[in-house]
Amino acid sequence: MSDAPIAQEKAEPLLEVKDLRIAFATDEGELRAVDGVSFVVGAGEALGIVGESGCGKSVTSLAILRLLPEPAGKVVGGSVRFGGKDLLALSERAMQKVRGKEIAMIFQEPMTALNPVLTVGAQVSEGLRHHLGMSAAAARKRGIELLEKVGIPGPSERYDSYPHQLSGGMRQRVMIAIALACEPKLILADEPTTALDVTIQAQILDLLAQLRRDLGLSIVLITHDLGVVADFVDRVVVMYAGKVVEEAPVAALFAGPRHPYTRGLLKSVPGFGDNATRRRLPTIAGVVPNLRLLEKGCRFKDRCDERIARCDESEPELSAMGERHRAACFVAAAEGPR
Amino acid sequence: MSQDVAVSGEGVGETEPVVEKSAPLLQLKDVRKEFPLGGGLFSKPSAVVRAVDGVSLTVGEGETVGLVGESGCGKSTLGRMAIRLLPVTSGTVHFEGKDITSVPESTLRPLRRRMQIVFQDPMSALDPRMTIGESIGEGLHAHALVKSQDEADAKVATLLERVGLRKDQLRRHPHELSGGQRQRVVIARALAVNPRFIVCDEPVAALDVSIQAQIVNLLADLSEDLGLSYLFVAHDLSVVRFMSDRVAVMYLGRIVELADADAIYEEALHPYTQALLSAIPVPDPSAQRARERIVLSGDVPSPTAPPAGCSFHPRCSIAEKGLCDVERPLLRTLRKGHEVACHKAE
Repeated sequence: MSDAPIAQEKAEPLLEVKDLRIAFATDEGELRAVDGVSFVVGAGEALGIVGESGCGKSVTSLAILRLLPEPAGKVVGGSVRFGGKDLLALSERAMQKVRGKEIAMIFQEPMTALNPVLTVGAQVSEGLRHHLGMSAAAARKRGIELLEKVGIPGPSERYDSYPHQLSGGMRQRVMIAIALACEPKLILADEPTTALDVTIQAQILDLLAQLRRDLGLSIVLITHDLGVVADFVDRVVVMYAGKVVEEAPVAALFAGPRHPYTRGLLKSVPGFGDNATRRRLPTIAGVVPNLRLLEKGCRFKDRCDERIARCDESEPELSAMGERHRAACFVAAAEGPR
Repeated sequence: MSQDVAVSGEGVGETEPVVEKSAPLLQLKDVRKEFPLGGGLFSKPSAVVRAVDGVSLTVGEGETVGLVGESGCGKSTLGRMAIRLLPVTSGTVHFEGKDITSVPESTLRPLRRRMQIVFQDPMSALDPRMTIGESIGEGLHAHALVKSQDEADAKVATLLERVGLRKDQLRRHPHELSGGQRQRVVIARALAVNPRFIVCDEPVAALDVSIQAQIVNLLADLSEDLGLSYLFVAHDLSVVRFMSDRVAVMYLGRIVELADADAIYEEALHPYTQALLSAIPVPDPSAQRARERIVLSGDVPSPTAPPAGCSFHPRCSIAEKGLCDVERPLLRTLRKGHEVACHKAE
């Protein structure tokens, strides 16, 4: 992709991912998990990255923090700029100062992301001591404040608990407390509520929204759940098979999705529009293509009901559909902005 | 109890004779399940978890009953007891009008053919070393529904097409298929023995949105074409509404509300159901941000020590002191076919 991501109102975006390409070495050859992905996140902005399993949304976030499982997976092209720094060019030592301190991450499954043999307190205070050089006593005090801030009852007792002694929702709150510890500018949240029950999910999303307002954080929310996206973010990037197929402000995306994949995804959610009780859901036929065996042309063409001859020949680029709204589809491009 | 033994139909497309209308296909009466906690070979259990605490529920012929609730509410345990994969601690289970609560396995075996289950994770539900043809065909041989391997193969091929797979995928192994395809195999395996009743335990929870819709449609088609009854267990209320005729909402081992699917979603009477519904994010930014949401505080209490009185009262916004924390509300019928267990519901 040659064109730059949509310009932000403010001059310099906090995070700018440009033409990112990630490859994994497999027994059957190289697999291009992410193939030219670009997006920006402004200061204080919440961006949603939406897509199904294997679309490349999670590896994109891992690549931003340089946490790809090397040497199997590596960035083979593009750039990641954060606060004026090129993250892909930093030394490992310099990168360690970014991770946790300037960009923090929240994972889906708090039970596997937390260390089961360390107390909650040890894990919350690790960043404080490591990045901010706090004493043990100061880190404990601050750690308890953090647990309180994320709504954990009895924070001073819970500080000495182990992860297995907490419920799933409480563990996810601990993860958020760890992420907030060093007051990062950006939080990457990879399916932060997927493992939780709906009532607990509502609590965690409320907490993230409130922290974002209070602390002016930027958040990248990676999810497959369009309901969560509608609730939480300002702008949405839709990924399919390693590419961005559409990006738009959240209201525009839900009001007028332009890529056939986005439309199919929205329509197949039960309870949306007239889907509540019709007894048959509109579906997207077929399955995601095998990334190793990609044919020429659009990656969505085999599942698309609007396929035209051009879709077999070349891959559509993102083109403008409206204000800050772009989609990668020949049919949508021919119709132009609405 | 009168019993009307169904004659097995040939071929997948046929339905079996209807049991007399008066008796529901499945009837659970005051069913309880207790699991001992702790304890070992030489020590007594330290506590008891009441996973299911007195549930009565029926599933009629051709009916789909949705069972919703959060993790640990006992919905999966109830689903397993319904087909006696788990024995009940007390209460009774009737299937096709016959009491199967404590009949020996030999009596149960022929009935097993008519009650099947589809699990959440198809990868662990399928034997990785068996081809999908072998997995689907296993029940046919076990219940002696086929006379030869050729007949079994032909039937498996029909089943594969019925669930939207290709005949030539017969010799594949589970790892060669996608998640959605594997779930289709599990459904085909359940269908192979011509069941009348299938417990679907979170059948789409492990699948991507676009694939979920395909599987939900398949299950709906099958219920319509074959007259199947489902007990549809899920935590996703939108999927449950889509699938179900009636919905039961569970909290801490008990049913707190039971009504027609539309009634549950349009006029929920129990404060827990209301909170559960309001917690589902709606995929529509303007509607989602405009609506008023009830965010419950706290977690679900531990089922080892459920709160006294109404087990929902510590999280309830309308709980009344001296009533809700003392007296346990029983299910009562407030409108036609709409039962709720709440002192305050009107």
